[in-house]
Amino acid sequence: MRFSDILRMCFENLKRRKGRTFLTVLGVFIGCVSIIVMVSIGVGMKESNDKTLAEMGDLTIIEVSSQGGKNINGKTVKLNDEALKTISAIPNVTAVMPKTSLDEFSIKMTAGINDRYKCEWATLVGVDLKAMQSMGYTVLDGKTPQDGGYTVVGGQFFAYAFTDSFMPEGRNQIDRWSNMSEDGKSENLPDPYFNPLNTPIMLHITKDAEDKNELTQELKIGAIVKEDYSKGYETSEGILMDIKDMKALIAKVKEIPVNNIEYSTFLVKTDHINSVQEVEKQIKELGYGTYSMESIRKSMEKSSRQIQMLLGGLGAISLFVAAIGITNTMIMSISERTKEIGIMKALGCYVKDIRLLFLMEAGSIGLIGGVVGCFVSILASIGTNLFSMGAFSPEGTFTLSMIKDALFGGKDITRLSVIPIELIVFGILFSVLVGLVSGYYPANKAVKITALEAIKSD
Amino acid sequence: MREDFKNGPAIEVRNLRKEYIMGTERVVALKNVNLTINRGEICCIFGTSGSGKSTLLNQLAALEKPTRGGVKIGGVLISAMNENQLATFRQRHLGFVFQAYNLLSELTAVENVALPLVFRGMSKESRELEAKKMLIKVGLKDRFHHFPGQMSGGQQQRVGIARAFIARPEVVFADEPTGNLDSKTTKEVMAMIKDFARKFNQTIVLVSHDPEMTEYADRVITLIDGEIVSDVCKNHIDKTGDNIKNE
Repeated sequence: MRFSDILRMCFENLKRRKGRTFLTVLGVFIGCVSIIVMVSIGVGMKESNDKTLAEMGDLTIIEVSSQGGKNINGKTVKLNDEALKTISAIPNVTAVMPKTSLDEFSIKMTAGINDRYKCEWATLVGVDLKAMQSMGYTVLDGKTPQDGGYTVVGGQFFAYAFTDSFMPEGRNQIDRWSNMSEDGKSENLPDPYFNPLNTPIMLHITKDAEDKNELTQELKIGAIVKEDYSKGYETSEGILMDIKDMKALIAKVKEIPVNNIEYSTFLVKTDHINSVQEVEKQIKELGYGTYSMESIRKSMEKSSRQIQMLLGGLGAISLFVAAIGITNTMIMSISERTKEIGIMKALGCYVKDIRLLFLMEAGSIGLIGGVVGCFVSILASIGTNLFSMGAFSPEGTFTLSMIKDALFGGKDITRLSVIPIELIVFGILFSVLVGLVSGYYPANKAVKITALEAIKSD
Repeated sequence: MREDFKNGPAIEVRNLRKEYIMGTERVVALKNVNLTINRGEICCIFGTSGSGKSTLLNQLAALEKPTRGGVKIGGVLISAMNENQLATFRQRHLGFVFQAYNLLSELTAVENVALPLVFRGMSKESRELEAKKMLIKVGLKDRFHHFPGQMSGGQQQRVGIARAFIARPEVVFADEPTGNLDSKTTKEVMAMIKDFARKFNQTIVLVSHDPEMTEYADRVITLIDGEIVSDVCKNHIDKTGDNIKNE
């Protein structure tokens, strides 16, 4: 038999029993919609998780510390220039940035005429300023100083760390938090007391409060970087100083030679989010302690996948019920058509053509249900997203571009339901597969009907 | 395979035995049948109900496998064929006319007649052209697009005959072809079958319990209790079937 003839016969048969075909297709349709909608909610959750993580910082950064760990030879590992070279040599590592700080000392900063503005707890780290760009720091203003000389980089909200010593307690600080919008974005920030880029900062380092041996150093802010917690708190309200300057400072206050100074941490940047796990493992094997967003990301991903599976499983149950419906319909149809199949065989129809005919009928039911189901799922998804975007609320405004955003997503949009193209393809293929699998048993039943049925009188 | 049919008899039956298991009992439907039907013969298998005539037809047309013995059509042992080989064989060499017409109710007359050609994989245009030619031959020129339910019994059986003969089969099996028809229509239908058979030198195996049917046959084989009790040749048709005597 020609394929076109089988196809025609298949659709004639489906058309002949419109009501039954419709009900069976409806079953597949409901199953398909529930799977797609459920999974799309899971995907939507993952999307918003990823957005949350990305706002928290760079996911490709690993923080390395020595923690007094030991390497395979039993030696205590040190974060020195040698370690810097070893870690830089690990595949997929694009940059390593050494960091030092003076945590055990009290660091104060003052600025303005008569040291009017004070910062009691300054965060000061030494980094490799030349590596800043490759590490993925975003310079917001100014130009990154290249050769140290106590020209430093300030965090995004550096100037807000200062209090005004001329004002009474309670009114001596610019509040940058209360104007923050709900999603953590800083809008309409009030200006700080001074512009850090053209204000010299005086650094005061002491061993403790009673120490009279104060070390002072004037700093010039050359650039401002964007806040990124994966790189450190200093990107928010602290200062990043070139590692050479920092070492010199440390040598001075601790009174030790420059060469004996160890770094406190390394920031290791990998080329891709997927390399983080492997690089982190290799660094751990060297005996260092590591920290990255990877573990948070992994656990968030795991929980969203679990929810996705759960939701998908619920949808799968309805598709399973639909599959039973298809099998039932096909068995009914075949027992009604016993004589017809017998006649076809007596007239020389091949067994494989009969099997194909019935498989195609079942597969078509799956296909129609799947296609309509996907279409309706997309509409449902758009509707849900528009609703969550506030398109239907009285004060919300509805624009056509919102439909586009609801469907494809956008930068500042959190969608409740996300349908990637793969999900549509999967939904249709899976429905067809369900049709074929549930048609398999009936088709084999049809094949077993003999030509003798044609002769039997009923 | 058509070449094979030029030589030798159309149908050969050797030591054919068919038993059925009915519950715990074994029923012998055909005891030991030996039969040769020549090419071009119109052969009537006559018997009362329970005589085994239908069972014999089922064996001859390979609708059932015999318990023992074999059936050859055109020199080919069809009783040993598998389903696929049988389907091909039926497409090329066998035609069926049924008592209950057995037309597919959702197909038109043309589509029903063209059905055997569909299974052969012939294109829609050419097979429907053939089907129309056949329908004109059986006098249903104005019934092309009627459905079986819109036609009388006689008309339906004529569609059935057109379907049986469309692929020019060597052997056509007719199972009580006029069982549901009145005597006038019976005459028309039988004349039509005979006409086709003579024109293309086809072999007809007619199964009936109606003594009237024997009138249309060249040869009457009577079956009682699964055995051939008489074999009367009215018109002698020689083995090659080229010339028909006594007519």
